[in-house]
Amino acid sequence: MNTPIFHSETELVALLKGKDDKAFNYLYDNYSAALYGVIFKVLDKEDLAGDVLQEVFVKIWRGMEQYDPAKGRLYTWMLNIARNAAIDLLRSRSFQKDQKTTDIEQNANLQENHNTPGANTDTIGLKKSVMNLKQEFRVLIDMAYFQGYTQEEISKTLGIPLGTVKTRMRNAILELKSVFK
Amino acid sequence: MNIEEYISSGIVEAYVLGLATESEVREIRQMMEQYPELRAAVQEQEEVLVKYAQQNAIAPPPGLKQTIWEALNGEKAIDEAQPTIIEPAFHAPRQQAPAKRNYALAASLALLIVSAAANMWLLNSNHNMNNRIAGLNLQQRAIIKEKNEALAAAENSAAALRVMSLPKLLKIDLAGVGPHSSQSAMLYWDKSSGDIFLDLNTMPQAPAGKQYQLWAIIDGKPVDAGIYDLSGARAMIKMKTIARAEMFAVTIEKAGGSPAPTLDQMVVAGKPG
Repeated sequence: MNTPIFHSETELVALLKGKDDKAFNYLYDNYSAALYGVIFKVLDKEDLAGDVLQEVFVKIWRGMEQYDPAKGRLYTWMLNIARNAAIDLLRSRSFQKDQKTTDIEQNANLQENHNTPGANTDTIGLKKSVMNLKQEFRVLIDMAYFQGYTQEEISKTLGIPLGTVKTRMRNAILELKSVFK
Repeated sequence: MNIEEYISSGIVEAYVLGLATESEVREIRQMMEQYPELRAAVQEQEEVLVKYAQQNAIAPPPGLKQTIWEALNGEKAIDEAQPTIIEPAFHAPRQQAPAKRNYALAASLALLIVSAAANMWLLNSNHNMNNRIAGLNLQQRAIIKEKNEALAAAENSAAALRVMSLPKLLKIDLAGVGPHSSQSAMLYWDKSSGDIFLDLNTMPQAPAGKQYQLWAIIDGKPVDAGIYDLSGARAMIKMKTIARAEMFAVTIEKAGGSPAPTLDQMVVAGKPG
């Protein structure tokens, strides 16, 4: 069976808003792995990642009518849904605050391949490019993006000023960009 | 406001990563409307995030697609069943329903929803994974339902494009012409960009060695708007971009198209508006 080819995101979005089957099929085939990867990395284990991915697709289905392309790309929107859903679950399992802090302290002192709870993700296929990021940047992206810390929380946990957190975050992303070039 | 400084402040990164506060989000969206350089910066950061996500992609287990497909079909059943879910129990739908869905499923879901009403919350966290059905966002769905009712015509099949929510996308029915009067096709025109999407899905294959070609009549003259290749199983194909036209027509031409339409080979045609 031929998979439809979409010429542009505009076309894909239009069909998705119409709840077109082929469009959703296309979405799953092409985007589910990226979403699953983010969910996996947030949860740090596989057993509930499938449930979260299902919830994410349902949310995409329901939210599609209100998705506004002027606010950002479809992909970004979906990634944020996936990340938020995974973080909701992470938090609902009431991860202890000191559990998190332990992870972070260990992350901060992390050697590559160090065998600590928060470092499982290193062994499940994090690609080289991320590993190549400077330690402090990787920790920051990890905390903010994958563990759902707000900038205020990061500032408090790491004991650095909020302004520094913001600057460092920007530098982390610049670093990420250069790694991809 | 120095836009350069703003762009360098880190807020773009925070926004793209979903880390900006609500007021920051509002602010940046307002600014994006005014400053194309800000829009460009946002886009650039989005590309970075996309690459990062792709680098870390993990294929989900193969059986999951089917499970998710079934969940989405469940959503469809809810969409197509009665308009108001809030009301308890089951009463006949107000509009003539497509009637092909499983009302037992819809009814039992409605009852489940009502019985779980106390536990429902809007969007945010505290969502109980074990009661995902109970976690339906009642109010949001009610709003979506109302909007659907306001917008909906009695449309047909799942393959039809529901573009009511995109005010600038014009749908033009192309009716069969002459000996082809039983044929029909649909054209979708994004007036703001000029993009045209043509759907000849119900039409037969063009005769061997020939193809369908779309024409836009502009100032009374036919202008080539693209060739439609029906060989793939495509619902809809993007044609050329046309800013304005009085009429659209599809003719059968030799493969590869021709510079001017063969008028006695016109199959379908229609006017915008």
